[in-house]
Amino acid sequence: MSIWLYILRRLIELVPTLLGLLILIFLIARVMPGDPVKLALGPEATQAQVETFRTQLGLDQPLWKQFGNYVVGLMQGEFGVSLRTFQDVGDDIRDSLGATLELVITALILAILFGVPAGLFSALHRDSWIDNVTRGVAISGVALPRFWVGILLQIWLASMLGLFPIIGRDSGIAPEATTGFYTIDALLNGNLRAFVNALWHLALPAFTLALPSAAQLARLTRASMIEVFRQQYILVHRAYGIGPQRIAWRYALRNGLTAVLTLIGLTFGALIENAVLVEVVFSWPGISAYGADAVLAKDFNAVVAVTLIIGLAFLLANLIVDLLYGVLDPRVRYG
Amino acid sequence: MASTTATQHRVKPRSKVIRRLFRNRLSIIGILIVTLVIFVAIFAPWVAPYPQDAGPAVHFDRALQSPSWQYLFGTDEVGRDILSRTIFGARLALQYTLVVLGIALVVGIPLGLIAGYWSNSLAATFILRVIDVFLSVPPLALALAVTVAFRPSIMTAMIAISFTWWPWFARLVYGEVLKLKSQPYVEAARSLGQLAWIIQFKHILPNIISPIIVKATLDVSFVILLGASLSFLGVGAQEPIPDWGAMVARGRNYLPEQWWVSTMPGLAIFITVVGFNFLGDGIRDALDVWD
Amino acid sequence: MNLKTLGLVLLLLLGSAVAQEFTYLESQEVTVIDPALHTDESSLHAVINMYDPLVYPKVQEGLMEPGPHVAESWSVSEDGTVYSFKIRQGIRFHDGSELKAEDVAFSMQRLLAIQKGFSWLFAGVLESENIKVVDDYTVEFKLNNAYAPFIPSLTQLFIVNKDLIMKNVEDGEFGDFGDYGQAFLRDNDAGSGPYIPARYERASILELQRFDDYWRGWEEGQIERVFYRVVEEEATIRTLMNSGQADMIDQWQTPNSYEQLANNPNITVQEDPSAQLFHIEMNTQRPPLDNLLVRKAIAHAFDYQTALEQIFKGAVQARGPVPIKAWEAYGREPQIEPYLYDPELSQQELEASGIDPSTINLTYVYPVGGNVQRQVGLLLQSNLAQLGIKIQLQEVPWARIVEMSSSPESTPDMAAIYDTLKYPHPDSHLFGMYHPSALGSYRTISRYDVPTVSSILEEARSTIDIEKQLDLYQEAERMIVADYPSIYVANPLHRIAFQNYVEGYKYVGLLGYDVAFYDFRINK
Repeated sequence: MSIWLYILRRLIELVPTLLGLLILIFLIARVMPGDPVKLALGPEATQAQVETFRTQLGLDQPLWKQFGNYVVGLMQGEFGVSLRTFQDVGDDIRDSLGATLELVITALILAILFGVPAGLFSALHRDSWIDNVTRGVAISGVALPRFWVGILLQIWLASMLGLFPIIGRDSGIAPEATTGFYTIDALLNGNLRAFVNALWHLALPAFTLALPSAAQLARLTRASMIEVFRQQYILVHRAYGIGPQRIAWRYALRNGLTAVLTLIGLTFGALIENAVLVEVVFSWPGISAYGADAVLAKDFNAVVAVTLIIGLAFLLANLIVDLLYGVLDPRVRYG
Repeated sequence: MASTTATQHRVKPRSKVIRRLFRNRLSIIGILIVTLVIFVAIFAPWVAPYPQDAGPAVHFDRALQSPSWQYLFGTDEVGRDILSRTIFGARLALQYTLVVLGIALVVGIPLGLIAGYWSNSLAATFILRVIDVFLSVPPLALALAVTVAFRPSIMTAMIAISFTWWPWFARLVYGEVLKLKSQPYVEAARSLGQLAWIIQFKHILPNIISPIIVKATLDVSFVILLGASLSFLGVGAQEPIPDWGAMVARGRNYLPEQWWVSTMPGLAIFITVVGFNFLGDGIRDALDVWD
Repeated sequence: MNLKTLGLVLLLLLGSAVAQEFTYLESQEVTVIDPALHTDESSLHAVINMYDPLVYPKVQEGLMEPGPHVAESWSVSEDGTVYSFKIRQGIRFHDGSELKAEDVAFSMQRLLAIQKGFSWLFAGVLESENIKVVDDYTVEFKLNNAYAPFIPSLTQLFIVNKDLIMKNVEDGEFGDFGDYGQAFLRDNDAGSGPYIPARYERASILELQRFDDYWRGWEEGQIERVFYRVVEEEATIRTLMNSGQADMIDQWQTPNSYEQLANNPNITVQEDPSAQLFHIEMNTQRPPLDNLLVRKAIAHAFDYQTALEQIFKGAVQARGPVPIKAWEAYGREPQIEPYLYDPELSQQELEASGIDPSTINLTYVYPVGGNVQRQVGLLLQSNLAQLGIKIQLQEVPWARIVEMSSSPESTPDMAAIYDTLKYPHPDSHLFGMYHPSALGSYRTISRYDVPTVSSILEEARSTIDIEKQLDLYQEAERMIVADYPSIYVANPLHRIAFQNYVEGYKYVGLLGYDVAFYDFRINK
């Protein structure tokens, strides 16, 4: 089967999964008891006001009809009206999606840059003191709540040493938006100052977000590399007298990486999910914080949209990972 | 999903496993920590210097005192002894993880077995689809939504988390069963006409129990941390329940001036997570199983 | 070069510190900037700085009582139903056109038609067709009945530019008016106020630029550019203030935070008696709290002194629902004695009620992140434990409190609520909390419904003679307090923190009006 057919098949397979996700989230969001409309209109809103708004939102219709309407709207790119901003949720999240993706992707890169080499190193020197130290550090990285680390970094690195900005995406010099990634937008505009500024603002939140994931990746890389070392063909190579370092780089790494790849896909999901903690601490205007606020305010359309988008991002990341297997491991056939 | 080379699984003699477990220094530290946490959890009322502070009590006259010999971990904003609350917190942390992992195992293992054993059946396809759906739901988001929808309490949240946790176990079991199914001894049992469920529970399950134990041990830390995240978002444990996550989350407002309010329970989380991770890794090495 | 200097150099290179820039931190996001939609304080701040209200509290004199603004003067007919406003000449909108009576009428009609935001203030009071533009500078409102708090309510009527909006309407439900410009005003403004929005991202930043042709004029030291940033974390807010990266923070931090900030010699923490009420509402409709004696026992079991000193870090004990400051604004002294902490009395009342305390298990609800409410709850919990009464603390999202209070079945037993004056009049905290027509909101968790009190409140609203009117309101308050529908805990101090070089900050007790950047001066 050609790779394109495979991609197509995988994409089609996503549809029922997404539909299932949509139904699940839609039910949870609508079943939340009570009346979010009243909240949106303020405590003194009259009954007539509430009724009018309910009708506008279509909440007076039976649930299945609401779901139908929602799916039809979704086809046309409408996510429904937000109860907090009174505009289409799509407009709300357009800007924030870029903010979150920029943060998450930067964090992912950081996690890979720190995590994978650390894991490799640890595996090569298995059971030595180096291994123990690396593992200890890695586990410590997992063991701290992200929000707590973020606040401490703000206090130490940003405030006391003044090395980084404390909050936000820019110091009032945001580049013109094209992609929603400030770093890329700044480069597109040729605005070097804005680029450095955006990068500088990214540093702490991305690091905070990346730390536990880097630690996690390091541990899992170590585990899968050790498994690869144990396998027969490596032993054969070793029997031929090829040095362990060379084996590691030439043969084992490639095979070990396929397993690591799966973990990177999962890491991406974990990063998006946990972005909310970092976004709140660093006042990062992202979609995760928007989603958390939406849940607390029972802004049901926003809840459905955000969960759907995060779910989709997760599924797509896994699809990309599966495709990359083929690149790394010639034994894998798309079938 | 692409698969790499299958690993041989053998049930090892217990004594050998334990010997290997005690050979690694980190594993020993892990065992010590986990034992300590369990001990403290069980004997909390006797270990804690001010056990009443874990319940409804306030002493505003000694609020926000820094760590001293009298209050080793300091006191919180209403004057409760943080050490005592941290000690009682160990109980809760273990309870929650038991609930989450218990539900996840009870739901996940049978579904994984079914999907793996009858891997080409309609039921398997359906189960795998459902797994996919639940895997794509962010656990934090689901827990948040469910606790907001129902009565907010840490138990509601934990049950919600279990709903996103079982698919991981189901998938793990599914994968392992697929590998084992074609092993000669399973095929032999089948050709002897043994019942499917007997094969599953007698021949397959014992051979895949190791990766399940390893995953469960490592997951303890994620459950504890997830609880902290929920508290940070405002839907965690209710006062005056001495929950670590809630203590760290509520205490964060006092950073850095009154650092001990959130740091001390944070330390408890840290030590526990490190302990379970060392132990989990140790078991994995000792059993010779890999993710 | 050490790290600290490196940081400073980086800041200079990359930051953009220009004179007369001002950074204000708010912990809630700015959900809307449309003056027909705003309900919360942060959105109100945005609106106050971009638009001009018809009348403006006399902030400079330190009073919350409304004075002239867009309306230069006004007169009321004998029967109290027809209000005629003279509009000030020469007010320019941001697009250069002049603000006229037509715009005032349009703004009110728009508010009434959209039926969101603060339109409830005028619902049932004023009909759209009874708004008359007499000439370019005169507008007339004919009310359905005499309505005492009408002028105070107008502090929430912000004047929008009719022509600009009508040029930008999109299709909508309002016939000729389309969507009444709601889509346009989502990200744009149509005001005449001192500042123009330069950048607006709901969850993170509102950047405001001075409007050079503002009718009140500009002088040296006023703020030219405002960064209104949304920061949720308290520790982060303190960090920003302490490092000098923020100039002012909002009033929603816990007392402990202000205490910490006050230790910094560069920071001023201003404390004012507030027009806020903190109380624990008790559901008077559900057993056992439907029993007056039980409510009385609970109210006298609460340790007010500890709460005021240790939790609120200095506050005045509330003497009923109306904040003391609101009475003072009208020259009245509060006449009600506050509830006292009296365990013995409490015990007696409980015994008299004949209810076994061990059977009482109450829920106490407070909003997520409500640090003060949580501590008060813990204190109440331990106080009531002395009586043998159990209460369960429940921290729930604000949305949940709102919906719980919408029906009698779901209304919690008790709820800890902060309530700020919505308009500068005692009516806000009497009619809005204890008249049955208001039932179903977080303000009416007591579900208080006593016909004699209701009729006094109705009478007060339609009484034109101001002294008689205030007498009626005070009488109603006295009767309400005697019924113990709430534990009236405190009129907390209103605290706000700013760098020492910020001058001109004045708090008068009315929601939002203290953060008018036009009033501030920077003296570096």
